[in-house]
Order: sequence, then structure tokens, then C-alpha cells
Amino acid sequence: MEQASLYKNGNRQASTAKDTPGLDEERILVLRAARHDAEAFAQLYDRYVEKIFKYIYYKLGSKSDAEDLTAQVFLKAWEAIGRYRLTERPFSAWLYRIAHNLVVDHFRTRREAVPIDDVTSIDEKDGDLDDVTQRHLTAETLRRAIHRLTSDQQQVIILRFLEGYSTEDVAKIMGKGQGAVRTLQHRALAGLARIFRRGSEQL
Amino acid sequence: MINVILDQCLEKIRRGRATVADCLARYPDCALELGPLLDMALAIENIPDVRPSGNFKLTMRAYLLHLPLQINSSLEDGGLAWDQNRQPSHVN
Repeated sequence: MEQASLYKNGNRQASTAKDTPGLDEERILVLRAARHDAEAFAQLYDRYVEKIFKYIYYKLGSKSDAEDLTAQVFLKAWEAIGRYRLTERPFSAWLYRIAHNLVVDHFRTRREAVPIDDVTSIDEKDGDLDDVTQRHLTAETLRRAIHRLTSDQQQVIILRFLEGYSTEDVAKIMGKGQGAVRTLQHRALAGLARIFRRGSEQL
Repeated sequence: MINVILDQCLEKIRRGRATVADCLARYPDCALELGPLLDMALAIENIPDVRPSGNFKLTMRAYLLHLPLQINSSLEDGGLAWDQNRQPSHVN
């Protein structure tokens, strides 16, 4: 496939890596992968496999299911990358979108899509926020807590604090403004703090 | 406004340019609300990483590298499929 067709506006400046000094290394990898250059795609895989796995794990809670879905994300990406269009949004946004859709399908298929309020409450052993922060949160404790947040809030917590993206990057990945991400971040952290406090009150 | 203050404090703490105490001292009017939010964020960031197994990563990578040989037939069959027990022939 012709590289230039990757651009929404058909910008032919993208025809070769040498001709595209503005493209960063990742975009060049994407361009190569779009021509089914497996080595380039493998390098993209190396960059994102752990992040995508972590994103899915915190949505599902099972490492083996998370590995299965992570594999599916990259297989779907490989199938579709010839149709991928470079935009201002990072390549990672496209991968996270695929992952998100697979997670939704997973819950739909298994009929496990439970409303936020119906999710099992935090166990007594989770304690209150002070206890938890002093003893260190575990991945499982946090995973069950963030399931009680909205989908967007979950995504902000995972991307911002577990994967270490900046607010600007999270905004690009989620296709939202930075102001919206800051609001989600505030509400999500406040929600988690409430959840852990409530857990201690239920003792 | 707290949204912005929270975000700025998080970035400063992440870059080692401030501590939670610094932030609370700088914004005393919202310290009561800000403190638990910063504590929560830091607790999350300190969670040990969750990672896929090394075997999964290597096997999947090798599988992806092997795909160009089979992608056409796979697509005609309705898409690619991942089987954890299946390994490409060149994986020892």
C-alpha cells in the first residue's frame, strides 16, 4: 500500500522516511507496519504490549484473560493497520480504542457488564485510605475499587497513574480536552478516596 | 480551580520538584481537599507493576513476526486468532 494514503489529507510528503523529517520514530514504524512490515509492527508491539496488558488487566482482573485480549488487540491492529490513518492523535490512542472495544465485547459476551453500584464493595481487609496507603495498595484492591468508577474515570486513573502518561497525552489518547481530563482525574481520585473511606466505615 | 491545582501538584511531585507537604503549604485554602487526593494518587503510582508473563510476550512477538506468511489465508477465514498453546514453527 502507498504510504501517503495513511494520511487523512493524503499528504504525499509522507511517502518515505527520508522525506518526512517531521515524523517521529513511532510514526515511521507505523508507516512501515502499514505495509505489513512485521519487524516494524513487532517494535510497536514491544512499545505497547505491557501498557495494553495493564489497561486490560485493570478492566478484567484476570491475568490470563488479559493476555488473551492483549493478543487479540495486536492481531486486530495487525489486520487493520493498512487502513490506519495518521492524525494528530497518537498511535497509542488507536490501540487503546481497540482494547476498549474488546473489553466491552468481552463483558457483553460473558454477560458480566455490571453497573458500577452493583460491584462488590471493598472488603474489610482493604481498610481505610490511610491504612491502605500505609500498607501500600495492591493491584487487586485498586482494580476492584476502580471498577466502581465510570468508564472514563477508570481510563484516566489507568493511563495517568498506572501507565504514567501526562495529562496532555491522556487527553490525546481519550480524544478529550485537557480540562475534561483534569475534571475526570479529580472526580476519580475523590471517588476512590471515598470508596476506601466507606470501606472502613463498614467495618 | 482545584482541578488545575491538583494537576499541577501531581506533575511537580512526579518530577521531584515538590512534595505533598509543599503543595499543601502553597494552597492552604484547599489543603483539606487536596491532601487525600494527592495521597490517593501517590498510593496508586506506588502499586507494583502488573505485567504479562515473559513467555506470553515472547511467544506473541514470534507469532506476530510469523504472520505475514499466513495473513491472507487467515483474513479469508474470518480473521486472525490467538491460541496460547499455538506457537509459530520457528519458535523453539
